[in-house]
Amino acid sequence: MFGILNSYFSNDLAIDLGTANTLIYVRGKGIVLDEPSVVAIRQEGGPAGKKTLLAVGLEAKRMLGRAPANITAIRPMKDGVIADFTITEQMLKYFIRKIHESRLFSPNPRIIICVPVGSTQVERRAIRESAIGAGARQVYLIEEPMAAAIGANMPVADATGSMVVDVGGGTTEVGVISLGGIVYAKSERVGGDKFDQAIIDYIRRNYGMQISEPTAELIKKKIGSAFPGSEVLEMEVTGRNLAEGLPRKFTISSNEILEALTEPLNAIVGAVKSALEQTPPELGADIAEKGMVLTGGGALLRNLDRLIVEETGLPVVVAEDPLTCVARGSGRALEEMDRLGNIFASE
Amino acid sequence: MSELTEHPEKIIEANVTLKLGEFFTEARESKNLTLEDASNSLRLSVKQITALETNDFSILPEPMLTRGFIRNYAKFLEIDPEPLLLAYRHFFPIDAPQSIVIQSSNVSIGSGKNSLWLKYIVASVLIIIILAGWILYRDYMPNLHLNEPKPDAISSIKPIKNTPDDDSSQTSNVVEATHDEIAAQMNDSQTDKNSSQTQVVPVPIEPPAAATDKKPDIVKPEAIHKEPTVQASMDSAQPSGSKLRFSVSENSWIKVQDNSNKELLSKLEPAGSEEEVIGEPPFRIVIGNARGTKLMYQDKTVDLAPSTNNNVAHLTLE
Repeated sequence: MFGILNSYFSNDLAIDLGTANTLIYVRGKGIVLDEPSVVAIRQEGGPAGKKTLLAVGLEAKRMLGRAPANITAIRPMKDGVIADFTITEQMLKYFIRKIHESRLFSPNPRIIICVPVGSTQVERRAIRESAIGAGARQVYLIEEPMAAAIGANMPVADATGSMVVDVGGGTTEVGVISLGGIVYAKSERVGGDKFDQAIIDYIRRNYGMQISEPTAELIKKKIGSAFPGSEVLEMEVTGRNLAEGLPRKFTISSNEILEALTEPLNAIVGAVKSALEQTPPELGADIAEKGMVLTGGGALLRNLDRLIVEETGLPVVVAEDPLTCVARGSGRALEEMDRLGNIFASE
Repeated sequence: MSELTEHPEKIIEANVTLKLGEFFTEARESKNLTLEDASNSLRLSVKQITALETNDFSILPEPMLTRGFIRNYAKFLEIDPEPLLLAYRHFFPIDAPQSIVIQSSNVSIGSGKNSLWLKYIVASVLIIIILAGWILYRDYMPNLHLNEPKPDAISSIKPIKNTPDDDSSQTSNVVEATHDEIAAQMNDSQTDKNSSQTQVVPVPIEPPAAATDKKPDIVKPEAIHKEPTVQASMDSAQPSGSKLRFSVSENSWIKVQDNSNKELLSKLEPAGSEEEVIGEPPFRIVIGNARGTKLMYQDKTVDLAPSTNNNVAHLTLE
């Protein structure tokens, strides 16, 4: 009886619990929340003291790398899966509360939540448990390539091969989908975070400068490129000189960033190629004609599509609004969940 | 590609609607590129590039992918894709969401035979239950009904004792009294108590000579099953109370019901005992051990043999 009541008072949710950003889609409303997956925690009175949730999301992200000793900004998701169970649960609880504002009863929604296709049973169980801990009445898991393909409006239910490459913050998911199911999928733990790390390492190695993660992300967004383009971009960056220990400015070009990104980009290309190798020839023919679709935040990296075109010799299309593809796709699955059965992943 | 970078051209016109393909051709030719160049760079087939340039969207894939092709081609030709995408909207104004549900006839395979067997099994079990119920009802329900003891009837029967005489009119009152609530009479008055005591009629073991003498010597079992219309004439000739006497040589179950279905007697008679019952005929009598029982009706011996089956006699006496 309370279940029926709660279902009346709580909206069903689809959550793209990403390494970099968490997006929440509410049934009948669309995407209502898009915040970084960052939690700031304040430690009170020494190491044994009480811990309190200081900020979540955008606010917490601003504290990353700028917090005093008693505040720690944590990214509870790593490589597409939960790295800190308790913090993830608190973060989900906070987000769910946020979209159920001014409700008399505590929300108790049904939740569809995305999982990387390469995640282990333990990791999936952790995601499910954290959603239940955050107040979910029922949890459905959907694999990210499937959600991304639905979100990109690909013909997933048709008897035709559709290939989707979702470059997220923590993982790159490559999936070949036909007849409403995943024919082949591969997950590589390479994504936006690895790009940032690669840039940090490159600059430390070649310039002897230490830069922070947010700076590396900024460099990637402004001048990052995956393929030598027609123009060379430059950017002035401030970091700490490792030899002097003082903040110094220096200029870095897009070609250097391209060099820095070689390793993670090769991993992505390798995943795409191995997926194509494993794809049955009939579906391969469909993909050769229609090409593959790039989604996720990584798709915004300049010329990534060009790189994959040159490496695979197949047409590549960047999806419209690639950042929200997975959230929109799982939202679509949420809207039609009563008629769907087989697209949800088991543990 | 190097030539393109040297000569970046700005070819953006708002008036491209419905001339999408021509716009592409124009931009490509102004860069001195062939269809093959475009095909090599975009990895689209020449057929697909031609289709884009001739607005033949039927051979191109879904609108979502075709828009991607337009963007890629525009990027390759270094022109702004936005007006071209707008123009494409004129061809495909609505981008209907692709179905994510597979059309299914939902016929499960494998379990079909099982369900058929299941149906048969359920049907046969039902039939067996109904049969068993009917058999139980037929065999046991009437017996249960007959075996129900009636306390007032039993209390009216007492073991026979040697008494000097018997008054038939008195005994008829006795039987009628048994039909009433004896308990109520007991509470009422002393006289009633006396009368109820007179119910226990001492009957002599010898057949009383003063009793009815119009009856035939032996009551034929054929007459037992006569219809009530025939009985009426016989009843009129008889006194209102009739007397049954059982002489039991072996243990035997005896049950007697009178005309109003009151049980006058229902008990196991021990060997060697005698029992006398007075009531309104016709009597329905069941004798469990017909061989060991002798029945006298109005002082005439009744032949039990014709109505005996398996040593149990069912008979009706008028």
